[in-house]
Amino acid sequence: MIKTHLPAVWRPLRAPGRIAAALCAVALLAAGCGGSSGSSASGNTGTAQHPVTITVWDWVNSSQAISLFEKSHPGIRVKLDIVPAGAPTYAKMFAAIKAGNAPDVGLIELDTLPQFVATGGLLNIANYGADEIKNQFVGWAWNQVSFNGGVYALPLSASPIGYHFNQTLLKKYGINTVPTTYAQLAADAKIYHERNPSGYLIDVPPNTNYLALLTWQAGGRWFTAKGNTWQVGFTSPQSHMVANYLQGLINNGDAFTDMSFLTPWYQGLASGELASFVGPQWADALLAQQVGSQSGKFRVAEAPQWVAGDQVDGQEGGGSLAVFKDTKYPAAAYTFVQWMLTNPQAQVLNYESGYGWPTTTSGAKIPQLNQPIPYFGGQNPDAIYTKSNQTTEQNWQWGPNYNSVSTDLNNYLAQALSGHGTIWQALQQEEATELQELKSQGISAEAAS
Amino acid sequence: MVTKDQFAAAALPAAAARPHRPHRRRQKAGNSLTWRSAGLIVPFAVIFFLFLILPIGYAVYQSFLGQQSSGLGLGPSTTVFAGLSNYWSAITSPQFGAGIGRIAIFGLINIPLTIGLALLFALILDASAIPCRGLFRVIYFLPYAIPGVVGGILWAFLYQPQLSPYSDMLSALGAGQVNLLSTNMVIWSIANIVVWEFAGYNMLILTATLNAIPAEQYEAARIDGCGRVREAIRIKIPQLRPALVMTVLFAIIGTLQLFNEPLVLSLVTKSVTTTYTPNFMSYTEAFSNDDYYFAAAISVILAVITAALSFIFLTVVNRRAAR
Amino acid sequence: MSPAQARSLPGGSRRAASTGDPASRIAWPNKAGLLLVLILFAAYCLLPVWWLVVSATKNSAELFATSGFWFAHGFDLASNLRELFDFQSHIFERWILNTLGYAVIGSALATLFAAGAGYVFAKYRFTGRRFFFAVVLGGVLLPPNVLAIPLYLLFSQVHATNTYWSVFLPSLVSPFGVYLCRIYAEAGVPDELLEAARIDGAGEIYVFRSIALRLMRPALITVFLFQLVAIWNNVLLPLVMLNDQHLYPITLGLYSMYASASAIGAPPNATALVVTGVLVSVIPLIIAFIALQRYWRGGVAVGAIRG
Repeated sequence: MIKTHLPAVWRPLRAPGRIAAALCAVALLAAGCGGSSGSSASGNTGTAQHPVTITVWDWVNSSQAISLFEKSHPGIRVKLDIVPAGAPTYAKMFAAIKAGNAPDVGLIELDTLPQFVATGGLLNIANYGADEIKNQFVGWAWNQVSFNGGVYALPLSASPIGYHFNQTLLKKYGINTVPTTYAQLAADAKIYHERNPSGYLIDVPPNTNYLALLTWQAGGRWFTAKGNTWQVGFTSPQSHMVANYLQGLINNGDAFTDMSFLTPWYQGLASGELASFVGPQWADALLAQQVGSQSGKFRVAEAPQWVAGDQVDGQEGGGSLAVFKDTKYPAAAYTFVQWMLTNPQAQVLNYESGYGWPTTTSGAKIPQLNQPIPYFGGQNPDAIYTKSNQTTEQNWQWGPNYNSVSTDLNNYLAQALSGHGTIWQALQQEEATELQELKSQGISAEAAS
Repeated sequence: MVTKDQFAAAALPAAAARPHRPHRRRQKAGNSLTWRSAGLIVPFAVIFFLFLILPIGYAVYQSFLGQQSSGLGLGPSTTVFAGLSNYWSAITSPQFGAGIGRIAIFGLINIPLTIGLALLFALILDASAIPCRGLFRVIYFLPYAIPGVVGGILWAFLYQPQLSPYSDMLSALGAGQVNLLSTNMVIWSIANIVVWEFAGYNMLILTATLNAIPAEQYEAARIDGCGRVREAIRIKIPQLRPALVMTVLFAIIGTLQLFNEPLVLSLVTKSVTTTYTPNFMSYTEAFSNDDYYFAAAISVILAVITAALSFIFLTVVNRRAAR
Repeated sequence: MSPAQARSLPGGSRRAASTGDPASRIAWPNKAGLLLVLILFAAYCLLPVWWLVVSATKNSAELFATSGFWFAHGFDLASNLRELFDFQSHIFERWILNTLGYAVIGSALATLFAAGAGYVFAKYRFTGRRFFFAVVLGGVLLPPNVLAIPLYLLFSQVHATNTYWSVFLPSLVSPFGVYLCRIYAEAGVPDELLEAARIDGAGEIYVFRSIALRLMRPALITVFLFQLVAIWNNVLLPLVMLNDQHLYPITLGLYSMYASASAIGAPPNATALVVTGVLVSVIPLIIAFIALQRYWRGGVAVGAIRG
């Protein structure tokens, strides 16, 4: 799931006819029944005669799954609002929570979920049975939706990682084996750049989520909840190690430094200026879309490791479906959310609509994942991503205000990558800024020891 | 094209003859306001109050508030009175300072260039028998017809290394691979967009003023044997003063509120961060960091700086005029 | 200076045309130099527009592959246009309509309100007149971008964000328009005319409508155009106020198209569509400005002289 500022305008909207029909049905029924408001009282799931309508804010077009849901749940109608991806929608959600007119269900990325929990605007769905399906999800994902004994969302999508590389280019410049450690990757990057002065093997983007991924893999943690206090660890030893590593690449001039998942980065991949990157599974669709000229030349391998022989991965993204506290139909909303995650047909449809890698163990077994991908020359990367998801380090936490962290650290990193300071200094700055920020809001925080 | 004589004969009598002071007041025997004629001003008064005074007042109020949580911050927070702490955070924020610094530099590049080019071409087109003079004026004015964000998108395409014909041109000219969006270049690139958009518009304002200068003044100068350049300096530029004051003032205000162009460019380059200008920072604070109170404080500071700078500028200019 | 005298000057340049400008006394080589400078600046102003026209005829692949200043092998303008207007159930037309509403109707109303206020400031005495006018002038110093977020805070208090009114209503305020109209009314609407009308028994509103407004026409057109461009250029206000894409003005719509051209789910031809969209949004404005030259050239002078 991408963390972006980009509104995803390119979503075909649901056929207006369906919404109109649904609303007409509700209106007619309400009128015909003499204005009964009984449907909102009992159990909140409505009946076929008096269906309830829940609103879902999502930036992925899940209308197919929704149609299927409505067929099997005649008492619940779902109105899908396609909203821009990421930050602009979060802003609207925050405002809506304050104003008391939040939707019933919303798509929230895992890194921003704690910030929403902090607003008090999300429903604790443990009260509606969420605890019972805990074991259907991968452990690291469940840890990221549980707070203070409550469950505030169901994890919807994961972003297992892989090493995406342009095999043609690597072979051309004599990199015949894929690096399995980051140390090896740095060495290869140096050789590659020597042999190809106008190209780079790897990128170092000013992307906080990417830095998080590397730190996550290294076993470092930016936020640890110890009792009632956050331990803030931007300057932990693991962070320091990652910063030094990346700084080395930059100082040697061996890395492509444009922001990932923006046009110049895609252009770099298309022109061959950038030959590989460590990235999430959902990059596959973007590559096919934006870097068509290199179709068939890319392959996926397991992501490099910090320690040779280890298998510890992280994630770059991930989304969840949350129910807002203000909902008039909590049971209906939870029914929908739970169905989306556990129903086998829904799992297939969701993957195909572009949500990303499933977070459920059952979802991870759907045949759609186990396919050869033309963009990767027919390679089937299923085993790689499944393994990555299973070996993701379990205890990463995003902290109570990741949105702010992301904004600030993106800016600090951009400065560092433009030659004003180092990445380590950027992290130190962020540590100071974040501690001050949390304290000024009355949140209990201290530097991790 | 309105001629000088037509203009002189029109509703504005002998503008050039009067010494120029901003806000000239004519003490007329005006009527007292009846309730019926008050109706003419009420609509404006109402919307002015509702959509200008009230928002600023509300922003000032909100700028003194803050959010307080406790513990891990995972429970709901309360709104508290925060005194001047938002203002203090803004003033001590290195990003805010950097943003102010950037628009200062930007102003120093942009205002002289825009107004300078406007003045230069207004004078050239006024002084010489250039063919198709009207056509040139229309061409120079055209970029103003392109809304800011759209112009930003257009230039963003033009700056992108892979798309940019200008990059190609520059490297053909031997400048090598110039990245117009790199950290060092991007402020010039933004300035370029703004100059492109507004030079022609300012030029037109100056041209209209020049057209109103009565012919007799030129006759007198010619008799004295003035060359064309002297003529420009002695006659035209002094008469242009009020127009120049106005255009520079608006350029200053525009510079301080810079948002559209950085917004667009931040999509294509990491050199433009989301706190690039104070206005952008206010937007980011409100909508990415969910800190409306801090954003309100930044907006208020920006409004105060704008008002103060404009006031200082006008005072300095008027004092010079009075001398 | 008589033609005979003019011809005797060095270079033999003819006297400037009937605009009454001073006779040019430029030697021909200098004139060529000036002409070159003028042409260079014209090229600078026009090149982006030319790039736009050329690029709208290409699809995305060609955009990145061919030179910006000349056409590619194919000519895809028609298909780009079709795709643009089909895009997301014809939302582009909706954006155009919205913009007409916000900018044209908004500006017209703003001009009317400003005219009324300026006229009152100019022609009537009342206590606090100077003070209120100073306040209005203070409003000139508060540009739209600074007001956008405070306006959002206010509108969200009354739960009125994400509505047409949230963008339309704030656009009706034009303090600069009041300033211009006041000056023009003072100088260009003779009191005697108003007195005469009043003696004849005309009511105040009638006097304003049929006499003052007519005389103030150049100022009105200037204010209208000034406010029109100000509303067009204001992208921050709709950006913060609006969630629903169907309410977007065209500037915000194009920005969101541009922003998502490289996001998941973007159609392959996304970039070309953005370029085509930019062209469609720009050409009508340019044509309108060229067609209305006569009016705004005269009006622009108003602010210049009295500023």
